[in-house]
Amino acid sequence: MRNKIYFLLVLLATAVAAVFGGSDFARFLLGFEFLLAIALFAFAQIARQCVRAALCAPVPEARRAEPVTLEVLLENRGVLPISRVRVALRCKDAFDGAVVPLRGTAALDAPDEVLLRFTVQAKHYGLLTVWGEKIAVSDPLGVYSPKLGFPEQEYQIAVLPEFAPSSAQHTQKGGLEELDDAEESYARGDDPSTAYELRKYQSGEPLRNVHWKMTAKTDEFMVKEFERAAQEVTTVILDLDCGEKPYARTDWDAFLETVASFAAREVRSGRHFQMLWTDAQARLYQVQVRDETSAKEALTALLRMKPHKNAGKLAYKEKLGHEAYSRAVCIDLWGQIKRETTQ
Amino acid sequence: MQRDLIPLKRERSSEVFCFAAALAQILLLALGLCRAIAGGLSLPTENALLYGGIVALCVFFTVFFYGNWLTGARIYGAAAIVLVWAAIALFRQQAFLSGFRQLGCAVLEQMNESYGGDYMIPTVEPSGWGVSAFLLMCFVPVIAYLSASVVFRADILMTGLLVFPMLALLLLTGATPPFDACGCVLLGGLCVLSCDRVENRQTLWGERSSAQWNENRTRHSRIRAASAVLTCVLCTLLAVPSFVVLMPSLTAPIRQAQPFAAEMKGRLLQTFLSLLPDGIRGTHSPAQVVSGGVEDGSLHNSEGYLVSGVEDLRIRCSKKPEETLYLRGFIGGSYSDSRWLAPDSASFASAAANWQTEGDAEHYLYNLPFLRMIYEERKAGTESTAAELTVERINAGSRYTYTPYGGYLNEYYTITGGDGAVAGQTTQDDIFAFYFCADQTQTLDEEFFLQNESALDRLERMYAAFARAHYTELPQEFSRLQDACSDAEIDKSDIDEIVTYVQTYLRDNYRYDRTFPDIPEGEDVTLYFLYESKSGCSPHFASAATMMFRAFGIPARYVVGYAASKSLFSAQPDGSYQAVLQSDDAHAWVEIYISGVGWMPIETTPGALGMVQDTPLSGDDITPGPSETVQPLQPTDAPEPTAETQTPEQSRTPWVLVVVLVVTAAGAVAAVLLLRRRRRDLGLNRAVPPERRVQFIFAAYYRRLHWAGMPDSVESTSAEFAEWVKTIDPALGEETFARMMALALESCFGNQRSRESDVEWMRGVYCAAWGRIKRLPKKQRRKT
Repeated sequence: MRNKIYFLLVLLATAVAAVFGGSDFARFLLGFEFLLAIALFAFAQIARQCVRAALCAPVPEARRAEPVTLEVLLENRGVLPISRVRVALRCKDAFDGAVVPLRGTAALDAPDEVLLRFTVQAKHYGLLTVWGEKIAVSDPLGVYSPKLGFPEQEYQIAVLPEFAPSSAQHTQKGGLEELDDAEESYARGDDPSTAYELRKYQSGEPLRNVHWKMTAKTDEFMVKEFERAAQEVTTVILDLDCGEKPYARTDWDAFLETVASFAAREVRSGRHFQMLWTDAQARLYQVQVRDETSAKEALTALLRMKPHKNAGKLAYKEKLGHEAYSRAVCIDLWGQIKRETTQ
Repeated sequence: MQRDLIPLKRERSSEVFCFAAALAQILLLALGLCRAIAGGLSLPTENALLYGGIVALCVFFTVFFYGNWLTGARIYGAAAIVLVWAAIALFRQQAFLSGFRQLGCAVLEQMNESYGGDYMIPTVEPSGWGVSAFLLMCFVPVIAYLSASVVFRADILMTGLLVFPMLALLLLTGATPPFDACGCVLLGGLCVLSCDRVENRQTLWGERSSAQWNENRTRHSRIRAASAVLTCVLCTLLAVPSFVVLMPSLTAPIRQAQPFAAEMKGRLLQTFLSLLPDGIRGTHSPAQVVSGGVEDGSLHNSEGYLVSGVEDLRIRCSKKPEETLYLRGFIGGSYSDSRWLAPDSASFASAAANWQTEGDAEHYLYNLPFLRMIYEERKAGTESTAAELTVERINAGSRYTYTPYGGYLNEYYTITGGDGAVAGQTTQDDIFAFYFCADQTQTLDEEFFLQNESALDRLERMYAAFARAHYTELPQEFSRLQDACSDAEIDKSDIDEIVTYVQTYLRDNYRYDRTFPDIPEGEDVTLYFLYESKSGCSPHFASAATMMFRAFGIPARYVVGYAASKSLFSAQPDGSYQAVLQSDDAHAWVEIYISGVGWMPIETTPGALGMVQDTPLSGDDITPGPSETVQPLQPTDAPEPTAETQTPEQSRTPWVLVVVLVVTAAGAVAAVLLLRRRRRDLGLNRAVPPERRVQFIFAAYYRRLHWAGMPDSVESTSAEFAEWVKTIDPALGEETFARMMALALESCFGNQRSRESDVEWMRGVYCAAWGRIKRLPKKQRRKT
């Protein structure tokens, strides 16, 4: 727009010079500028037809403070060089809805192909949505910059915490230690109600489940599969209720790290569990976690959430019932892991 | 956030192309500037030396700044150039200074001409060699700067920093640069602008000196050069229709807007000039004062700027004038101390008391010629020859109302001095009924007057006696002139002969000089003009002629006002004729009283004679022959070119236009055909079915192979064809070739319709292949 105004001012000045001065050159210049404006417009329209752009699919997940690469492939198929191509991408954070513009420019020869690469780093965990906003090509003098549409592509990048157990969680009281102790007791077979089956050992399974007697008898590694362990799924309740306390983005990052760490520990221990949480409208979300992939899916789904002031514990009890709830832990927004009881 | 620009196609080397593009821009700018200065100031130059030198300097500095071969040593090179430049300036200082003096004189002369200045211009012997050498020396740093800015940065601001001040200074001197020079500078400037607009975000190019950075740099240079060439070609193509079609067609609307624009300009100038203190004002002819108008009777140069081109009056006449129309402003009755004074109102009032006029004597007497004309025409029963004149004041001084001879004045107007000037009015239009001087002299002659003793004629006779008593007085210091006139061997009773004598005498013995020098202190201006300077402008000629007429005993007065040549009038749609009088049309003349007719204007300024004196007092043609010593008074004096007087260049113009139009049309047709061919080759026409477009693209590829050396006898379906493709375009690949052939055959003979994606794919393959084929060296093409 600015260049159009400049051109208009030049045109106006020439018209004034032609009328006031009356020189031949001023009249020539006035006519020339009219034609030039038309020619530049036509040039810009032709250039617009010749340029193709594509937003290259980025990786679906990323780590915090690690570079994330977004690429835009620009191609000029025409015979005219294009002095400026402006590309604008948008990156939206699902947590707070903040939209960050990513802008880049390039010049294209005829014909030509270039890759415009944006490398960004996420400060926080979250779900980023990236889409192409617009591309504008310019005529040689930069007067007209018609826009061409980006292909309707939208990519989501989940910035996830590291999927590994954290040593800090072992020190928390009433957390995983208690849960582990209970699990150990089941593993020893102290529980009289325990019934189990035997099956062949599979690579990667914890050795504590090996039924050594049967292994000795059959001369083959056999593992015992606890019926209860198979049927009773540990429940992890994520309490997203922040109440009246002030809540910062760093707290959310810490919460996600805790959840990821917990999930990693559970998955690596071979335990299946389900994650539960509610959103601001008290809708219940329930995700089964069996392995790392499903755990990451659960975390990705969790990234769409935000802390809210809606207490969802009652909803959990109603949904889960006594038996499942008795095997549940709750992780609150400040990273505290607590055993839930049915009292 | 980090951004990177990664080229995916390897840019071909194009050093020569980039160098040529940069050189072209520098040449356009440097040659344009040099031509603007030399042509605008009309400097005598040795063109071969000057422009050859400019071209050589451009080449030298482009080589100097271009490329990497001088990196590091460029600073020493620059020092060497400065030393050589200083040495040449030192050892050839005579030529250098001579050129400098000539340039200075040309600037002063131009300023004198444009602004009516009176700068003393020293006499300098013109030397084309000296001027050319001086300009060349001056252009060394200019071209060095231009080359550096174009090659290194291609920054329009940096280039404009030099070009605009140079052009502005040139225009401030009042010079008009030639059309071709302006065109060159415009073209060069637009090329630099287009280079400047090429995206130059070096932060995207990666690490400096890395492969990616070098690749981006090469790409950028090439795109810049291509953009400049494209702009140059585009602007050159657009310049032709602009010059041939738009420029002439814009003339009419611009002319329509010019009166309004002139009025605006005049008002602005008037406001601006009135703000300036008197001390810094220049001097100019007494016929013209600040922002137009006429001065009082002083013959000394007046203070104030002479602004040419300011429109003072717009006059509209109901009939086409066949003579110069004089509009009276100031009227001088008596002369004292180099100043004409307005007529004495007391003596007029004293005389008028005996005339027993109806109403006030001033108006009655002023209208006397008009009334007598009407009376006689009615008496004779002939149709009235009176015309109507509308005088619209734009920027003229408001001290006087500019009235025609033989006009009718109502009582709204105030006449000063009894029979002197009409006092000024507001900005409203003044409408006068009047008779042309020619009609007046034909109808009201002295013989007629003697035979008709009406009341009007009696009054006329009494005023004639009054005029003889008051307007024939000659100051004592003009006794020498009196004697000279008394000794003149002419019939002193014949007014026509006296008029001719005075005009011829002034024309032959005096020279018109617009830049009239200051008169020495204490000298009488008219005497100094008559016996010392013998050169002056219209007020001096008019003053001297008034004295001469009085010496012959003819009542004469000095008048300053506006003279509207008949050539200034142009027909209007409503049937009237309009003329716009500028400050340059302000003029001084003499009016003599002819008994029985009244006051009649007499033109006595050489150069204006041919223009204005087309009203013979007694039917004789008194237009003098051409005089070699006479300079034209005003631009409007030049006769309108007629078919007979057109130069060969003018008469040849239509043919040139036809040729240019034909060439342009042929170029446009060729361009359209080429574009259509290209669209067809690329399968871009979506109105055609996709299978046809696939065939077109394949046919284009086939033709390209022929171009690269494949014999015509090779058919696309033969096995030999595949071999040729491998030979000419090995990078195509067997799979791609196979798919291309399959698509082509499917499009020709298959049952299924081709898809858009097939067309896109074929187009991509064809573009890439053509890119490879056209880069084949010529030798290899011949070999294949």
